[in-house]
Amino acid sequence: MIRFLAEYFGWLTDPSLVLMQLLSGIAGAMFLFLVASGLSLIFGVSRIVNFAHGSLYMFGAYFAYTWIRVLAGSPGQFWIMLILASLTVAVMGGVLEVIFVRRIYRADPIFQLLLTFAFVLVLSDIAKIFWGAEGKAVPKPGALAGSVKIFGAPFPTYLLLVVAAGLGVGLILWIVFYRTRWGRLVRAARHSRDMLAALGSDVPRLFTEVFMVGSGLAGLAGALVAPIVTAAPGMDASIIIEAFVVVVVGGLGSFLGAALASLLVAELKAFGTLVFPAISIVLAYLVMAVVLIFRPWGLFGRREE
Amino acid sequence: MGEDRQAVARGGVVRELFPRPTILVGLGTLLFAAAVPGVIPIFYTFLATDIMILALFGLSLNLLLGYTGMVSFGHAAYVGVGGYAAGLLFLRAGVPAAAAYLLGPVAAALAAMLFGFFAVRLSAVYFAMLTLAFQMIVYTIVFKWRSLTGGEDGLRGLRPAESLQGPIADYYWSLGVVALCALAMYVLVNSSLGYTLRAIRENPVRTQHMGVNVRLHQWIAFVIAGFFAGIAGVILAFSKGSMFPEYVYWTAAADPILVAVLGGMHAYLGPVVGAVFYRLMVYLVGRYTEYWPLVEGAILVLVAITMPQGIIGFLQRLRGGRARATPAARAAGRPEAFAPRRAPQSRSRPADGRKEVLRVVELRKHFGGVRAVDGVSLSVEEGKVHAIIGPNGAGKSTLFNMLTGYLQSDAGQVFFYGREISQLPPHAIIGSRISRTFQITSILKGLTAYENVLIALLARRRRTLDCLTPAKGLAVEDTWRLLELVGLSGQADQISGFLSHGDQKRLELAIALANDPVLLLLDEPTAGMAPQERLESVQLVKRIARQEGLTVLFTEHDMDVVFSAADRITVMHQGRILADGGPEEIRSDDRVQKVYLGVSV
Repeated sequence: MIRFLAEYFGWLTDPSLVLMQLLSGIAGAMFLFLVASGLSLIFGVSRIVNFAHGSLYMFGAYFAYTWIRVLAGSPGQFWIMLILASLTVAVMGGVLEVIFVRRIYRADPIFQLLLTFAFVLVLSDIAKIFWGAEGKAVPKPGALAGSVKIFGAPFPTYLLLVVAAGLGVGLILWIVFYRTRWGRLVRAARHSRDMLAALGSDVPRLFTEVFMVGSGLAGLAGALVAPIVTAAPGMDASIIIEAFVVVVVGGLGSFLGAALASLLVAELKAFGTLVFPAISIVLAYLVMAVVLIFRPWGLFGRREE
Repeated sequence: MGEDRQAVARGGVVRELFPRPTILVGLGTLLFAAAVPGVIPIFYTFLATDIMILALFGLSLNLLLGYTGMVSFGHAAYVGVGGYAAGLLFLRAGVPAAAAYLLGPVAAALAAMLFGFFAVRLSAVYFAMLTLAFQMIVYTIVFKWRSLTGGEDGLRGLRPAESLQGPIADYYWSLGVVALCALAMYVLVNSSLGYTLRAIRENPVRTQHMGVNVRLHQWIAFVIAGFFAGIAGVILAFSKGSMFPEYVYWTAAADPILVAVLGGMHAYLGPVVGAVFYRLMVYLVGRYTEYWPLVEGAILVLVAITMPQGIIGFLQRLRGGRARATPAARAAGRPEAFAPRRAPQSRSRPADGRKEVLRVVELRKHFGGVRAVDGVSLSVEEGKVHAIIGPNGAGKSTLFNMLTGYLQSDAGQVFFYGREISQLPPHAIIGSRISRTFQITSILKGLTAYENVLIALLARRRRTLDCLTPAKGLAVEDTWRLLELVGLSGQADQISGFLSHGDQKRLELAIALANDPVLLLLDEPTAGMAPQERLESVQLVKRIARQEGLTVLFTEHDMDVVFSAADRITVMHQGRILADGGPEEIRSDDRVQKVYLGVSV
């Protein structure tokens, strides 16, 4: 018994290791949150389960690479790049919505799944055509390349930026969602798009805007993650399922839920790796399955009557 | 058309199940497939094997997608479980190949039983997400448990040398298994079970109110689909000699959906056509470009947006639309003559006829602060036509929905012949011979009028789990009788969603009568009808009720209709009972007049 505990939980005696895992878990949660909140926003309004959301995240990373090269040498290039990459992906999302997605809002859900899955295939090939099959590295901004000591343990400065960005975006989303007219419209559209249209709102435009905002969030996450992981094929397919886990666990359409579920999933991964490296990710899927079984509307979502 | 039908009848059910075109297409495909190794280079037998595996995989998924209306995005899990289970038994446990071949699909069915138990409780998107989660769990296990499954290097060496002799023998063996499975599933989708699954696809609520335990049937469909996917997995494992985790990766879940939709998910052979088309495209396009996924994605976009009926549906449209029922959907031949419907004799009805059929005690339902039904007590006597009236929002429909278990009551009880039914699920309540119709007509819109009534009869006869007998051969006389009774025998082959509003209402009545009800609950049977039509349709109900000795409870807000038909009237107002009595009593009641004149009491 003692040996079992020592083997699997020995790391608990090392506070700096625990802290490290905790912090890197939080940083991981930020990426997940950015991706999942966009996915959740789009689902909440359009009821479309967008498999291509992971592809948009991947494009965020590739655009980060491209914009950094275009901007090379200009002051504040990294920050401008973050904005431009997000905007580019937002426009991509808008184009997809206007040309394709809006044709199938009322179709059988199977065609919606199929269409967004088709996007995954097409976009991954387009990325390969433009950027090749090898990973593209994006340099960290000079000021953030090092690490800082937190309670005596070194922690990458860049991840602090990620945490700050995640919290900042979360705050902005909250304000936009609950304190602006646009946010009210979005919340109304989640209840009934027909009623909103009957009241004279330009619903198709609202849907396009929602798609753009959601896609922009995925793009931002991709641009932020690029300096850590390099932009590469395959990052689309791996993030999307985790984002689904987050969205389902948190409750489709709930930002608070997405935030807390991101934290839960990321920390499960961070600490699960220390205990049972082989099955840490299974834990996340199990959590998703259990939540779906007992509270299909998610931990923080609202039950649909 | 009538003669046409009788011709079909003479040919018998088997010929109807296998009309000549189906036989020709089936045999042609089989012959062609059998000739493949002889006429084209050996390489193509591998391609053909791939196509067969994918076709079987697609057919099994389509039991859920096309026939039951369940969008599973995790069906590759069962290919994985089947293939890995057979492979591991063969490699690691030393089980003979033949036994492993059988045990693989059994393992897949068991996995489907476990996962499906939870999944069928969810609807639409949530069901898709949960099946996906289960598939990812299977994926992670085979990917990470290297010591057992070989992880990403795959499970290799699945070559049962003693039984199979090279690719050609392999090919014929796979062909035989796939053909048998395809035949078995064909029999299944045309059986009572198959028709019940179609009913669930069209309208789960209506199906449940035919007395079918919908969840149980969905679960059974899920397990059967998992079993056949498991067979595809075993063929895959033994024909390739290996299993890899990527067969279970989430993107693999799209393959069967893709071939089913591509070929046409509402045609039995849709997934087969889709699989042939898809694999050939992969092969041909793959020769010219490495960007196959791009092409595939483009095809999918095209299909999803412009050809939702798939290739088969597209061809049918070219040949002149689908307004008529397809041969397979056509009604069984109408008997030349049949005795008029007799009232079922098996009712335990006492002679005095003054027994209480239904007793409602202090029933309550609150929605937030709204007391929709606020302590209603009510008694319905045998053989009476009993009306519940009241202005809009009086709580009539809420009360009705609680009687059949469609809504859970907050408090109170309902007794049917003295037996409490308030805690029973709708299908059990319907099964105790209470039938109902809905305010908003609830029928199986994508099926013909004949099929609507037929399925209701199959449910009544507890035949819905029969997966062998062709449904069209069952209950022929009774189906025609009921259609005749409500005046719809001329429209038997019409897709019911295209019937006029009044005809749809009458069809729903026939569905309700198919249950041999003792008590018939009609929620606004005349909603949306013209005044003249209203009277006629209530008279029809009354005539049938007298003929068959039914007790009828109906809601209505047209006073003329009520007074012309009801023996007893209960007036509801703001969730409570305002008055209860015979038509004369009610007519002269001051409070009732006030409510209907809009003066507050």
